[in-house]
Amino acid sequence: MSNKGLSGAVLASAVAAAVMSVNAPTTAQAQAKEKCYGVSLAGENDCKAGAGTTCAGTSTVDYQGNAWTLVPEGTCESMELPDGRTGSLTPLDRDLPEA
Amino acid sequence: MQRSAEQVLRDFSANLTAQKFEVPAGVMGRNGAVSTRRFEVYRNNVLSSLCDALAANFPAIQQLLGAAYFRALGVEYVRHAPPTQPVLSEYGSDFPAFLRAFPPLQAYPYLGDVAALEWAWLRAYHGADQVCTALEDLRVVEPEVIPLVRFQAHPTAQIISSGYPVHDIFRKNRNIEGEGSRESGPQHVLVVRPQLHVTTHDIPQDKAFFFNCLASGAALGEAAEASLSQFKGFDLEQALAFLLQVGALARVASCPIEFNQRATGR
Repeated sequence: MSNKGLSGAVLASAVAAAVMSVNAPTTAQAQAKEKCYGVSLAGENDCKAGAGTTCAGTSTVDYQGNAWTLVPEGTCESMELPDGRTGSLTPLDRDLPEA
Repeated sequence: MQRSAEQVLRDFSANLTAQKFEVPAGVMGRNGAVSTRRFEVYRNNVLSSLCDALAANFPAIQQLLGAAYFRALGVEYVRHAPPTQPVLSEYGSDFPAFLRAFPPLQAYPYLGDVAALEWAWLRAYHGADQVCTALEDLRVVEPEVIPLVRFQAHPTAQIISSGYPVHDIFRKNRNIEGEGSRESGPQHVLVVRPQLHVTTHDIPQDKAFFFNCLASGAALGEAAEASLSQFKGFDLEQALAFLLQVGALARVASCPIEFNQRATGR
């Protein structure tokens, strides 16, 4: 036992245990989100990033094509919406507010 | 005397935010008339856009103080610290310090810390993306050299430590759902954006200390020793697992040569 109170072996085993206990890849995947266009209800789109970029809650029609919401990764394009709409990973031309 | 365009612009800019102002010489309407009222339109637009920017960057502070008070305070701040760069989402770096020093708010000493947390949130949101590989990196490090490993913290990771329950106040006033932990006592908040969302974690002081050691470049062994000597109950395994889990450690930055050989030999 070193006089520093923490031997290399103790440290290495603690680190090994820590690494084992973290299930990072799956957790990361589970938490991963993607921007999904055309699925937000009016006024409920995401995006809030401080001055100059606060577009959150600014969509004016349901399923507005150029407004997005963060959704779990991989679920956007399979999302079923009324009248045959689906979500998209890129902005859409449909359901745009009248200029 | 003819003044250069540059001189006129400098005067124009200085008179936009100053409390006492005059219409700069050389600035006039199309008919040649000098109009104080018309110049005031510019002053109002500048002040009000900067106050709006401040409100967008510090929504919890605005909610705590109320919109009217925040507006008046914003005007004071803009005069105290006008922008030094053109990006509105980067305006307000001195706001926490300004709040701490603002005499009428001395009875609310937590405001500066809440603002510091909001600023950390904003920096994390706009900070660089980085995919964490620390976990994979650690798996290939030889056990003997584990104590010598140094990490690079995630570029968006930062700890805000406060003598007040700053995380609870922050969450409540940003209308973030979830249970508050407690209503008094100090809090240490880890802010990090491992992916698209900024996350904030209320963590115990020993974990905060350990992270700050690692983030400032201490080797794992040194950081663990220092944390253990400061905090009796420090649990290295749990602390490291937590930091890896939330993405606060981006990668193994340096390590003795065995690691490099193995890593490049993969």
